[in-house]
Amino acid sequence: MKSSPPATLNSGCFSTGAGTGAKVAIVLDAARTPAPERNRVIGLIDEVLSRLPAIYDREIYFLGNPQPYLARRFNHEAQKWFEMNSSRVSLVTPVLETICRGSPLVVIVGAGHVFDLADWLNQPVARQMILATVAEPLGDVGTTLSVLKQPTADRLLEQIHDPVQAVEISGPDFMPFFWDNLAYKVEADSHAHGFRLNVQKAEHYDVCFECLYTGKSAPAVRSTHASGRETVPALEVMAPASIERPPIHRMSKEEEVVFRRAVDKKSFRCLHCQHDHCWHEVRCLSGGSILGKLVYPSMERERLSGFVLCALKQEGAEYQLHPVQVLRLSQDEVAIRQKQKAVIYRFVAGRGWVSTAEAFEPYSSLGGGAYALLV
Amino acid sequence: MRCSFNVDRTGFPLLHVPAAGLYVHLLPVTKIQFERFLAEPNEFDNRWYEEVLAANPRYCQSRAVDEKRERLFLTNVLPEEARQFADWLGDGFGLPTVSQWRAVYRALARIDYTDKLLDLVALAPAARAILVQLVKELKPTSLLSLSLMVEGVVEWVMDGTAWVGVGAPRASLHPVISDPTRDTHKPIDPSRRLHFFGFRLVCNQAQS
Repeated sequence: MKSSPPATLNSGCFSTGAGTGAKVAIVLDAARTPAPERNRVIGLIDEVLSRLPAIYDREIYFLGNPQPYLARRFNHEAQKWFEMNSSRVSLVTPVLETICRGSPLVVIVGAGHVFDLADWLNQPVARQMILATVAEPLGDVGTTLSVLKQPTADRLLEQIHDPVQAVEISGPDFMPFFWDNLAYKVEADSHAHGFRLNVQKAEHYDVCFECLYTGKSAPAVRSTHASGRETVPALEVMAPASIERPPIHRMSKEEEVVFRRAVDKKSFRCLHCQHDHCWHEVRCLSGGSILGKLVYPSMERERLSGFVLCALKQEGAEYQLHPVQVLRLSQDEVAIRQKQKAVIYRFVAGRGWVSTAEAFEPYSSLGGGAYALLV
Repeated sequence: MRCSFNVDRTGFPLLHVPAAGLYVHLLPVTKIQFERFLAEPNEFDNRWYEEVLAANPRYCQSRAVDEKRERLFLTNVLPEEARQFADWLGDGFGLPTVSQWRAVYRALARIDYTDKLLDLVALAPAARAILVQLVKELKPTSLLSLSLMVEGVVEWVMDGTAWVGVGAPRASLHPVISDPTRDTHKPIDPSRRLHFFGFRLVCNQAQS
């Protein structure tokens, strides 16, 4: 089912490293750090590097130089690095252009005027910038950023190690229909006539997702940190084929018979109890079990729960778990799983996603020989 | 009359002006462009740049609008310093002669402005932002008016063996009336920095 959404709905696939904070770039100003101050700065940064939790990837840079230096060598090589970079001009662009793509936290520990810092204050990277000076002011830093003056290691660490605690992805008429980090859950967003993807206190926050949305802008991501600070991680466009999905399994020949009869809305001989079941029965209640067993023994063995996609292929019938709450049924319809049932939502221009009175039926056609079950 | 567009290694626009037989920077060299050169290891350090900026401070592009437009461009530099930048840009780049500058001036006056310039894929984001801003402010009808050969800075050029300036800056930068097709600015001491002197470069080699 790859039909185009209605004219007002966009379909997109994105990824975000919303848990950013795991990459830190420390940028120093060798030219302006006076020689008598160097040992103190080296000691400060060395302490920060050694106390930073191991989850952080860290790199060292010097203003005017796009080349990264290995943080693990800082203790041994810092004096030499300062000397090598002491005639560099205090420009931050060469560094930020190199590191921006990785969305790191950028910690500029300067010692005086940075000529081009103002060029970056309205860029997304500014939201992930920590500014400090060990000597003179850094220059124009606008009104939204503050500069730590003569910071201690404790003070710097407080600013750097401020882990993400929650992430929200939302937007006008936003409807995600697949994502690869199952810690995220979908919930209604009444303000935006759509839904949002939320996660709190997860092991990790990176996620790739497919979605529908209206408007010209991509969905918005907002990370909330332990301190209450909010950041806006970058969202990257990606190809849907590059999202990792659950494996596809082959049905047995006997299960294929059941499947073919069910999609034709014919009764079938159950593989558990050997009696006939109506086409829409997904569970066999014989044998005394309250919940019953899935009529597809291989799915029962895997204890599948949620949406399952089934398809008739030339080589046989296949099935694949759809592990998230939302399943896209057509260009403007989704089914959202709520406990043991699923509610169908339809997109109505001007009103957003509206729940219908229609029930999600077993073997709902997704087009192209694919069907969906809720197990 | 036609010309074609290209970019230099900083991503700023170059024009090929067949009538003048040259490639030429569309705009006077900007501070952002020059900073690409400054970021390389060379003799130019913080102290040098602070001296240069003292007379024409650096503004970020979003602030250098309208009456502050000249803040975008690098001025207060000496011809030898411009030449070092030219060497770094690549083979064939250099400061123009007076006659080259005026040939470009006359040629650009006959070329209509086109938005196709903004379609140049290789334009640096900073260059694109500056061009969009200038197009909005100047509403150019010809490439001459966009080029700021008038109402830009006074530009270093070679006149015989002497360095002189051509251009007709706004009074706010330098209150002297001059006709760039006839007049030159002859500095008393070409080794002394002048806040209204900048430059653009020409290139006599094909750009790929």
